[in-house]
Amino acid sequence: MKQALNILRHPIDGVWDMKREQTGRYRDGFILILLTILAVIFNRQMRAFVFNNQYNVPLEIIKEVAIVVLPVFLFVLANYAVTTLLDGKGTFKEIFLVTCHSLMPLIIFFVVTPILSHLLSLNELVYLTIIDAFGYAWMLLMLYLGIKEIHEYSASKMVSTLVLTVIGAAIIVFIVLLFFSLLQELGSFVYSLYREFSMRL
Amino acid sequence: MKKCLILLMALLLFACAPLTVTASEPYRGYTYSSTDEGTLDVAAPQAYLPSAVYGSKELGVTLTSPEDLQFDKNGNLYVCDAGQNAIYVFSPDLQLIRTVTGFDNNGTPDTFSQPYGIFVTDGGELYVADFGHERVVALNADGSLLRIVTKPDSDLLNESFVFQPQKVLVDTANRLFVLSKNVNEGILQFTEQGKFLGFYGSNTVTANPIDIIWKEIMTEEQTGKLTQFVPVEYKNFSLDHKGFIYAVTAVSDVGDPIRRINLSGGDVLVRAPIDGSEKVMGDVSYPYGGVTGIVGPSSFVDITSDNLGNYYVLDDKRGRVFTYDEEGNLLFVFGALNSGQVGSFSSPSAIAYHEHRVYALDRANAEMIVFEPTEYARIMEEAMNSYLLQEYEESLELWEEIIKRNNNCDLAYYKAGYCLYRMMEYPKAMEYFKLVNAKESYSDAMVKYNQIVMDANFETYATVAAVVVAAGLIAWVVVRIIRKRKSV
Repeated sequence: MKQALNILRHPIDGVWDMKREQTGRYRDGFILILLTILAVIFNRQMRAFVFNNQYNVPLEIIKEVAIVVLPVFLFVLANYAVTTLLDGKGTFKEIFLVTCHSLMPLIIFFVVTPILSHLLSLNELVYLTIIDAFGYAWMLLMLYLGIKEIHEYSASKMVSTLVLTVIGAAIIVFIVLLFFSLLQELGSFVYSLYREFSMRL
Repeated sequence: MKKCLILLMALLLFACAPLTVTASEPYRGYTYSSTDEGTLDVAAPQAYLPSAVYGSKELGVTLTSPEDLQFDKNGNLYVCDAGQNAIYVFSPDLQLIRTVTGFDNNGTPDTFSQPYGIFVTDGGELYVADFGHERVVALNADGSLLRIVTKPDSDLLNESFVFQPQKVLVDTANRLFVLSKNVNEGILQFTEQGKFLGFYGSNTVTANPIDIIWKEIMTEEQTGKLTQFVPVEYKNFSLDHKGFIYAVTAVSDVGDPIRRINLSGGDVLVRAPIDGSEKVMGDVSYPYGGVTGIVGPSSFVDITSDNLGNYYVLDDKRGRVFTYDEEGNLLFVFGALNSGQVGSFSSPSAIAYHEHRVYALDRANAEMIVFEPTEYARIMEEAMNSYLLQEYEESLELWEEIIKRNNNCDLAYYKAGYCLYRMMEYPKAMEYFKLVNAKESYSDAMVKYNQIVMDANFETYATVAAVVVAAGLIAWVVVRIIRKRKSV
């Protein structure tokens, strides 16, 4: 907990300390992901009617979980794949922990903005948008600084790896979709084969 | 045994009770409602029901192909029949006053050929779109010739232009407007004297960006084979109580088949229904294929309006009349095509609103159908009227009555909310706005409400805020002192 706050306040030093002293634990990462999911749900449910586009839409927990877990998982996997090829110094665990820790601004903002939204009218929408945008920007900045630190990259190399990471994530998505559609094909093939046999024999 | 028999008879009586004959409505009442699953058609109370059908026999004239009807300011009904080449004039109680079949054209008797449209001015002048003779004939109230407008001589029109007027209209500034067959440049506009002024309210061509890119790539031969982007022709028009022209196009996939045209020819129809769809196009969901052969969006043939700003459009594809309010909210849908019952359309041609009733012509059945408002429609009209007169309490009651009868009526919630808003009952208004997802109105009400709360309790809030700030300051100072001591 203390470490998390330290990383939030001093992203570069905090991550460096975690890497050097080997204090990172998977458990922390999972707790942060859980908190993010809770914050996302809180934001969705408690946001004032005026600013809430999903006010009448029923909550689906699985959807909310997926919206947090899938991008994190995808990013960690893609980044690990790319950086191992581009001599990054970070381990899988470190990448995972940095990604999870950079979710902290989101947790804060997703708790603050719903409360704030009850005090504002539609005319003040712009303030809420700015605050939201600030939260996202902070998250991206933390992610950038943290990943850069654990891999010990220069700024230019960092940017190019990030681009490659995004491409890598896209490829992973593509392969997963391909895999599932092939599996489906295979399934239907086996089924039709079974029908063919069962009817002829 | 006797007891058994009595019991049996009683049972039989019960079984027979629901068999009492009631005339069922010839069509289903429905409206569109936006839900989680998109816009759905939902059941709604009947708003207008056919109360009488007037054919040749009832009216005492020969109708073969009635094409247009209009009420003049005295309540006389003009019906023009393209098959009989005649215009019939009826008194308000539908007794034939006179039949106009011809006029004295500077000494020689002249007649009409396929008159498709008529217009009666407040002064009683009768304008006839004489389709077959390619002219518009204007007659004085006494039946004498006022003027004949023939094919305009203008650079705007090419050589092959054929002047075949189908509908006519004279606006409050005495300009004459003519819809001619196969003209897609817009409405032909003439001065009072019959001088051609130009096209009015031109339809804009809609081409999507992809089509434009394709057009750039393809050779001329290929583009020639494409369906051409041409503006859509207006089918019919009418004047509203404020002097604007409502116009309809028969093809609905143009995006805006219904238009309200202002003096300078721009489209000023408000398309801001509270469901946020920005659509005024008749049926919103419709089959794209099927065995009935009736597919695709509504196809409009006529439009009329009342003094509340509501307008009624006639769809000849499904024989329905769609009623909208000034903001583009769908109020009612009524009418049916070939349902086999009295009061259903076969080939609807024209529609007119007069004194709470809707009159529609059917050219194939050669009859006029009168639609009478039900209690539901009357309450709605009353509610709108009292809202316009700023009698909000009365209006609120009526809107709540509408909600009781049709809890799918988004408009009723919205208007009830606005009545409460005007009555400064903001929390209740907010509740209504929330129910129909009217975010902006909700926000407005909330601001007003917060102001009231703020004004009433300003001292309390100010005190609480001051106390919090003071406590924070004190805590901060205390913490600093403690830290200093520790470090010392």
